[in-house]
Amino acid sequence: MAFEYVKKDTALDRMNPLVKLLYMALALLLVIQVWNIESISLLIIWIGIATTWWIVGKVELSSLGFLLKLLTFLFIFLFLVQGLTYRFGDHTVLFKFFHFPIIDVSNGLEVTNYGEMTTGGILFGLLIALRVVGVVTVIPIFTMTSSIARITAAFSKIRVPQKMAFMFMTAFRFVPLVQESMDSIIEAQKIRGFDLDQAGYIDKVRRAYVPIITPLLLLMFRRAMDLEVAINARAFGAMKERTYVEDMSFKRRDYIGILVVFASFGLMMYLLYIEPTFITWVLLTQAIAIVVTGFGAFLAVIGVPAALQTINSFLLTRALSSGS
Amino acid sequence: MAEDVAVKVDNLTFTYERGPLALQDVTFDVRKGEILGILGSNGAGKTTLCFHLNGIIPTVYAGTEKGKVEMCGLDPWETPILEMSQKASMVLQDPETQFTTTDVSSELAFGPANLAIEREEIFRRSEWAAKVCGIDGLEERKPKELSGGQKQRVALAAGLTMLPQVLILDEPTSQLDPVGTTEVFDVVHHLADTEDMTIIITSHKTDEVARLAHKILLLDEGKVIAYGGPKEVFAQTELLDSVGVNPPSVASLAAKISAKAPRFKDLVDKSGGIPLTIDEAESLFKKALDDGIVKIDWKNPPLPPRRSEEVVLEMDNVTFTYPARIPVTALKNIDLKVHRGEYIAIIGQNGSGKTTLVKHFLGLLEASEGVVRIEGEDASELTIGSIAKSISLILQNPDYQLFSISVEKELAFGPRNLGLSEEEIEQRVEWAMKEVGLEDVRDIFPFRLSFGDRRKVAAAAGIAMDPEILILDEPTTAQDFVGRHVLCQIASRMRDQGKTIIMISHDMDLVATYADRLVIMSDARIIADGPKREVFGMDDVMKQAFLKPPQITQLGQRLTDYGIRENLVTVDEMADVFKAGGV
Repeated sequence: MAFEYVKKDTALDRMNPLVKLLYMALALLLVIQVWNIESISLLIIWIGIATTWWIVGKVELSSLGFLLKLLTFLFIFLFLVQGLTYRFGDHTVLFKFFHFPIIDVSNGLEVTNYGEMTTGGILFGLLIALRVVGVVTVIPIFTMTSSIARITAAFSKIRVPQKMAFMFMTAFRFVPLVQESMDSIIEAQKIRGFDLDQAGYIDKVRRAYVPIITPLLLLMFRRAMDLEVAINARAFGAMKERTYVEDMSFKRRDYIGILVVFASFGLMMYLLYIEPTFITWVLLTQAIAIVVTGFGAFLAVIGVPAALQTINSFLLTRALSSGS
Repeated sequence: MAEDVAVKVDNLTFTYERGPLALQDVTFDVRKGEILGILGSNGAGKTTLCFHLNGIIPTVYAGTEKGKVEMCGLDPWETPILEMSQKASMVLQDPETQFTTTDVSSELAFGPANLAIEREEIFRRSEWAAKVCGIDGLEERKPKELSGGQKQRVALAAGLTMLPQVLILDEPTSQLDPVGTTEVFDVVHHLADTEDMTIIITSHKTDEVARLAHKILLLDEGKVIAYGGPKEVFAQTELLDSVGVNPPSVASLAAKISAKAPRFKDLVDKSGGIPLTIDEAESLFKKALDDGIVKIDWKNPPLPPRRSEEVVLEMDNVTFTYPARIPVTALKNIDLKVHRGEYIAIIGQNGSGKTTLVKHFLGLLEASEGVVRIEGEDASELTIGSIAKSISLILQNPDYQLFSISVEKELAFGPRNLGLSEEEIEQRVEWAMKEVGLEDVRDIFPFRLSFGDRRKVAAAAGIAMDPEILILDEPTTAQDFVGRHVLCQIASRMRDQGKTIIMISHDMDLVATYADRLVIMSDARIIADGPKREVFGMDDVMKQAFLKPPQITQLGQRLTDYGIRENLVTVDEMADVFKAGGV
């Protein structure tokens, strides 16, 4: 499952979850302030910083698996829709898919054409996508490096009621159980000749879910009753203040963490409001140019263009000779 | 004396709110350090009684109570659960749901943390409890990385961290395989011996309880039927049978022979009561045979019914690997032929590949290598629907499949999927309901039925498909003695009609009684396959699979010098070869 905690024993692992929670909160705070296409570069830097955290915490990209797939669909959708409809930025038309003009009735002139994909639109799509990524990349830094026990303990520290914290923990505990039960139920119904794979899509939604969702709900209901017995037998909720075994006091690495989080957020704010021209378009294009030239230079060094040229000329001579 | 009593229950009568009368005039007491075994069929009131002792009733479940319960001097109805939970800890049946947190160490800390005990003390207790229960070293594990036996031991340890005086175990092993069961009972033995804990245990595994308990309380429909020392209670074999509890087989055997040979009965009485363990039985029978009180008159056990040569299911060098980050090979080079009309039992530990194997026959899994043939056709070319026409499985957990508003509708679901006519469906539903005995509850919502009855509904749903091949997956799970036999007898009747039966089970007595052929699996391979009497004789193979032959077979093997020539598997077979000795 994506976002599941895996013990890795890194500095991030030992860090107080509250610091990571703060980081997440600030990430949200940042993206709601970023609305200009010009700030794309700012988001890229923010994501770059998050990636550094990932490396420190040894968070693996592949562990995001399912979520990444889902996001890819979202991004393609965003690029298409924004590319075709956003008309406040650069109007340069990149592609024209179809003809769908909007005409001003008063003068008969074409206001815009929604079949055209504009540079401004694509950039706006990119901005929105990056805003999503800016938050999403921060989430695993919290969830994948903090054990549930530590997270609940952290919750209690910020005065979340005991019962809410336990609900959160139970949710995590039950997700794999639900998944498992669901698989078993589907198998059980298959054995009774209930073939989901053969049914059409509409059919699936219409009649298929009753035999699967009903037992799932009933089963979970039963499990919940058992759980109630189990937690009561162990005096859950008996005391107003329960002990948390996890050490939640702030250590040096936690202060460093807070410092880093605030520093990067501060930098973003500085770039956004005080020095918006410092990093702008130009700088971004320059950066891209540098990367591209660098890549070209690298290829030249290892001799790829030269090799290609040789092959080309070789093929040409072959073609010429065979042609004559 | 009063100081010594840990639990005192006096004339307890209890009715659930909007529910049935669950307990009636229950009276007993347990002294400190004593172990009480509570026996009874499903629905006898065992769990309700346990819930009374640690305050779950009335904290979670409400009802009206008469009589008196005293738990270490406290009345659960007056005492808050905070205090009750420190007197008594409870281990429940389902290893899955009582795991309240996400890893072992926080599970152990959960109880004492709720009591706001200081951290250092929690660590000390966790360490001690983990050690006692033999789970030290597993502290970092998540529930899914533990076996059933380990999970139950974690539950035990988690209870122990509350430092209880009384431990209540409610069918702690009913969902475990033999290895898991042994693990749990070993811990219980250890606790009883070294920690001097008062233990109350309910279980269907009577031979384990017989070995452990100082006293036995027999419940039926909420009433105490018998109460006393194990030998005293288990000697009343007829009474036990009538309430659906099976005594250890050696006790039944001794009772049966006593009925035939009065002098044997005298010997039993003289030697301190009915035997409960194989060792006791061995010395008793050897003495009886030596003294000529009984003699062995060898009769060959009945031969298994002739099987037809027609192969209905076949596995040809099948290997299966579960795709995962670390692939798991669950079947290795399996060759298996199932003939029409056979009653096969597949036995082996959890994780040995039994379920994976039958899933291939159901079309739920496809062999990575090799061929699976169902009635001569390659399974990979058949659809789920066409397989469902000829093969049906009765699941361990009925709750995975029941969803309809009434039993009748539930049974019609399968046949309808097969595309039968309404008339035919109705006919089959009627037939299946009659076969299983569900006519009285036909209009009831299955969710409201007891677990045993839900299991019956699932079984009826299976046979309403009128399959050629019926697969029973562990008929013993959470089933009492009667329930498991009902399922097997249904299967037996179907076999008599020419159907083929495959049963997966851990219960050797059940396997010995019903199956003809045994297939033992261990570590993804079939390590033995043959007639049951032969297979039970293969000591090495049985040991390799961590299995033990039935008590009766073991006893017979120890009496070979006296003329037991072949492996006998049931109490009746064994009782048959004994005759009263002449003077």
